[in-house]
Amino acid sequence: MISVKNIYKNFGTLSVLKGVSLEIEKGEKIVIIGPSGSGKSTFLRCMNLLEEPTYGEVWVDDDLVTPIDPYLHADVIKASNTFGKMAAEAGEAADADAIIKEIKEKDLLNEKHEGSQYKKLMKRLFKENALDVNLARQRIGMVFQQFNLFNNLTVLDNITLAPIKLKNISKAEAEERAFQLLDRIGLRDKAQVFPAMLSGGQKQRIAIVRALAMDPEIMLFDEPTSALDPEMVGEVLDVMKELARTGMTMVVVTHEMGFAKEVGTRLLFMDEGKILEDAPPKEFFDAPKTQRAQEFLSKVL
Amino acid sequence: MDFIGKFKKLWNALFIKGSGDGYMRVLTGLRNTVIIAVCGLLIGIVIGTLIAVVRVVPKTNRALRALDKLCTLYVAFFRGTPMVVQLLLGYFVLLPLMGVKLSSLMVCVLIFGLNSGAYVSEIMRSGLLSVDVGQTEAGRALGLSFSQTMTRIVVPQAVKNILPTLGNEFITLIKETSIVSFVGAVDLYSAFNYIGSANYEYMLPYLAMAVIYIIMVLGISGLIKLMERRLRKGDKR
Repeated sequence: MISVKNIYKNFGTLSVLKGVSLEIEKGEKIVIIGPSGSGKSTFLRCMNLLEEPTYGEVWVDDDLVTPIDPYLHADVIKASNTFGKMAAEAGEAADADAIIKEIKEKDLLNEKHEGSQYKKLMKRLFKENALDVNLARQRIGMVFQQFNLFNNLTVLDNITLAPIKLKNISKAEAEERAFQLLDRIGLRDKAQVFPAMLSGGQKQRIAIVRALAMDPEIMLFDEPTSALDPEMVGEVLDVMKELARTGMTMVVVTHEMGFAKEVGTRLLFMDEGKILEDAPPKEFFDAPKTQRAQEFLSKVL
Repeated sequence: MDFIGKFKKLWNALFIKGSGDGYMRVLTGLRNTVIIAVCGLLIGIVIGTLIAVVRVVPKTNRALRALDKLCTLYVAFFRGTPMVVQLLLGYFVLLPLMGVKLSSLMVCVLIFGLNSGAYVSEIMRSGLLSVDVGQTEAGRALGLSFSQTMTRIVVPQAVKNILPTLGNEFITLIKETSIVSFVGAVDLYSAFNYIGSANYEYMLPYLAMAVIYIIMVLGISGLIKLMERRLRKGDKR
């Protein structure tokens, strides 16, 4: 559904993600946990390109939404001048795989000096696979820690804005669908209210519904309950659990270990920009493999 | 001082002498002042918003960077020279060079708009920056394009935040219109100046002019306050 290939993310000299890969299958409920600063939010935001990875590729189904990363394509490396030079130097004994490996490890490619063959191939690959990121995002719903409801629009307009603009449906149709969704979370009576009048829990439930109004194939949750008063966490988690039951593919960054255990089909533990563990939640909580995860769990449980 | 005599002269100049020619002039001047300030501000808001957006977005490619430079230059010029100079340059240099004929009123509207654009761009920039980045992210995450997110979500909120400052800009423009007689347009100043010069009696005409300006500015301030209160209703925090 989404596949993330070997992404790195640097903010200036700070490296937040260090080679993270992930294949998300339809129907999976992936929960990402880890200490703060471990890169889990950044990783999530790379999936819909709110952060552009420094290296690596993100694919949504069969469509590429990032630029081509030459290091992920052996044939591109082979077409480069650098490869040509190194192969010539090695002469008879040239071992293509070893050279490719060396180029990857030492980051030897330099866009400007790799020749026309390389450029042509990069361009062709991009043309064949690239998808406008706005189209990809329509298939990926996202829910934020700070809700981010549009302050200048009513709840109803918050929900219908994107479908009307992007899905070519009439206002009436969009509103009917919005009311259905509001019924689902029991907030139909708030349709004409501005976000500032709502509680945190209500805001977050509406933010979830706003994302659902685009009929996404997958939903990303970025610490959806972290900004809420404790008594409102439950109502948001309930909506998410119900969503999980409908078979929605979900990726959730959270500190709610109970939710992770109950809903998650797969748990990722991240630290210092890397995925350290990738296991079913039960397995992870019963017997974490890495020492870092053991330390983390001993602190949070 | 003979106030009654002076007042009689003003009265005559306004309403009697030359068959009511005086008060017509004042009305024309008032109309032009309003036209120049309102149209100037509207043009200024459009230009200012475009410039502000260019200056706020991340400069990802060369074209954007060049555009940004251009906007910086534009703002530097219009904020760095007096508006009288801009008016004179526009009317006596630019128009003849381009071989275009425009009425002095049109030229004033254009120059006021261009000038105001520079100031509004700075106001709008702070307005855009005052809108939480989460609003943009939420819009983009739904699949809305950059311009859709800007026009439907960010700019409306920015405008609301800067409304008081924008009102100040409008008041500045109203007052600045007193320079348009430099290029021969009729405004409040030139109307009262004409009345004063008709019988070499300037005291009361200029006083009357000042009163009209003050009434206009106070009225506008009141309107802005009212509008602000209306807009605040949407967000009790």
